Amino acid sequence: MTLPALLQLVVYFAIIVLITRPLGAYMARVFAGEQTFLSRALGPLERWTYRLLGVDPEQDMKWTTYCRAMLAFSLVGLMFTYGALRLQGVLPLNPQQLGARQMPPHLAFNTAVSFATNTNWQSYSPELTVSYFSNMVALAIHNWASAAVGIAVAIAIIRGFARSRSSTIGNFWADVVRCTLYVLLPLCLVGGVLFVALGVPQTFAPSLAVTTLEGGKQAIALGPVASQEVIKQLGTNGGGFFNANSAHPFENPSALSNFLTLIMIWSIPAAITHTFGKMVGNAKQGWAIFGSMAALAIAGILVCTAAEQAGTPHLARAHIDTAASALQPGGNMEGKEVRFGVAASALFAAVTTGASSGAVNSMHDSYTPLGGLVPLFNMLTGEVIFGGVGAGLYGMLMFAVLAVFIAGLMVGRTPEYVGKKIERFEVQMAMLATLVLAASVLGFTALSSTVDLPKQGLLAALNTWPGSAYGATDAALGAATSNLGNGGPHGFSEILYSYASGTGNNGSAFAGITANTPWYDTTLGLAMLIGRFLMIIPLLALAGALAKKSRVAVSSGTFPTDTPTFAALLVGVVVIVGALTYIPGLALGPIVEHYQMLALATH
Amino acid sequence: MSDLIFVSLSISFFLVALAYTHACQKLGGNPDD
Repeated sequence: MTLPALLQLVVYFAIIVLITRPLGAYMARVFAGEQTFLSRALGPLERWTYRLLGVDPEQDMKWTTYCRAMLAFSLVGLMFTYGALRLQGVLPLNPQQLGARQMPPHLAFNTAVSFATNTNWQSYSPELTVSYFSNMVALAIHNWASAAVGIAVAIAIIRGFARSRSSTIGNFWADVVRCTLYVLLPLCLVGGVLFVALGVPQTFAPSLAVTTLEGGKQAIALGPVASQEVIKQLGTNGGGFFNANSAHPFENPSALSNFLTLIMIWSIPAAITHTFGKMVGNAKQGWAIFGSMAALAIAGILVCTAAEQAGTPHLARAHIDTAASALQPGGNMEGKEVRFGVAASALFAAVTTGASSGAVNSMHDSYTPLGGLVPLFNMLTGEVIFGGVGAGLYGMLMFAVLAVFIAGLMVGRTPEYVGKKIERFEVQMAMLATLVLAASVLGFTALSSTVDLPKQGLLAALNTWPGSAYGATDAALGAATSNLGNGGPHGFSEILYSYASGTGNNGSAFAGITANTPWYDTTLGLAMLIGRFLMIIPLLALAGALAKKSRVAVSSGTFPTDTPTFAALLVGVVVIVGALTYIPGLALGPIVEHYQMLALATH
Repeated sequence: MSDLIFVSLSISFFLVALAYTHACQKLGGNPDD
């Protein structure tokens, strides 16, 4: 690991720590309905929105009502996006004249689900598939709404811990409106202007036709990029305006925009740990969670950067100079932008997969086996390393419930967390949320590793790439493993990564997999739905049960959960649960590939 | 036709999610929540 890489890491974490307290405290005030410095400007708009929706923000909901409102809101949004994508040919802002042909039903389903669940997995190539209207309305609406839903659910779950003898956990509609107006809107306005200042385009002009130095013709895609880019990063959405995502110079023009992007991805997920501390009345509880997340994050960043900086023995044997110097970053540069080098790419990979962002500035498929294992493990642990906006915190609270339960078993104390007794039902719900994720990732991976569809006949359509819509020819691929760019363990990693990314609502791709077929679009769509909603529901049930309980006074029998000891225990539980569940899968993919690489290098 | 399949699939998932909510509610022993 080079000195600039270490310095970058230190400065990055220092900024995240500095942001956490003020932004976290601000969000606590927003969701408590208190006055903030933006209340005078945005208060009338907030009240007008409630009147328009017919919502009484003071009327709190039971967990079941909150849950149904969240599901209804998400279903309506999903259906709207599906319809808008299929009808993009007759809708405005479509200078490239893209239509339903480029967006077949299976792809529209996958894309609508992807954006409604804050995943932003892209089975499609944006420049060739979606119109400006689809980008700005059908998809962007979810960049805001799905982020707001994630944060709202996290706040509702925090209320479950914070409230005493209450049957309610807040008002879903008020939480979503407050989050959108007071948190996302001001941050996006500032961030969007910064992106424009750094060179990110914001225009409705169609693609530019240019003549290259060799005399060839090239279309340079443009569009309203900055406004999409900022919510993509702040809302941990990750869906790129361009296919190359944050490796594209119009999405991420410089090292400075890259650093700003990294700060945006983790700012809200880090800050909400402090919101948790403030809302439960003990800021140290939030810092303990922050500490656990930071420890896991730093370990992953160090391993990933070291593996990529070391490169591969094949490069050394081919007499390629892989040492870092003033003229080159060294290491494994395959799939990485020369503008960013190894350190800024590896940091980005760990940050985007720790969060449920999914934005990428390098191709994870080209990472060394151990370097690629880190993003994969980050997603498999449930994306609790700061995690998605809201989703990271409620995922970590799920692990905290399991941690106090395990600690209680070990030392013979009644499990308690932030003054609430953790009993049978809470542990059942936390385990249900954990198992649902594992079942989706491993089940779909096993299915796609083995399913063998015919290349002819009616069933062939299930795994046919619709190439004719994009100027190529349709291709019946047969077995689901035929969609892979690589065979062997790396191919297995491509499948495992896809379903980990889908279920974890991350959205980044390992690349190397042709996912735009009915088989992958549908199964990945289902994985995203399961990973989002079948995890949230038991956690809302857990919050509802906790809200009803009285807070227990701290006694000599209380296991303190605001200390470094608890933070270390929490890290241990995350790693152990992740390892026990996924080590067999990882052994079949990146681990065996690592040893294969070493063996091949010595023969 | 394909549109109908994917719209039905989406709605079916959310109906399953509602049933799952109800099952969690019953497991907690508070059906009147």
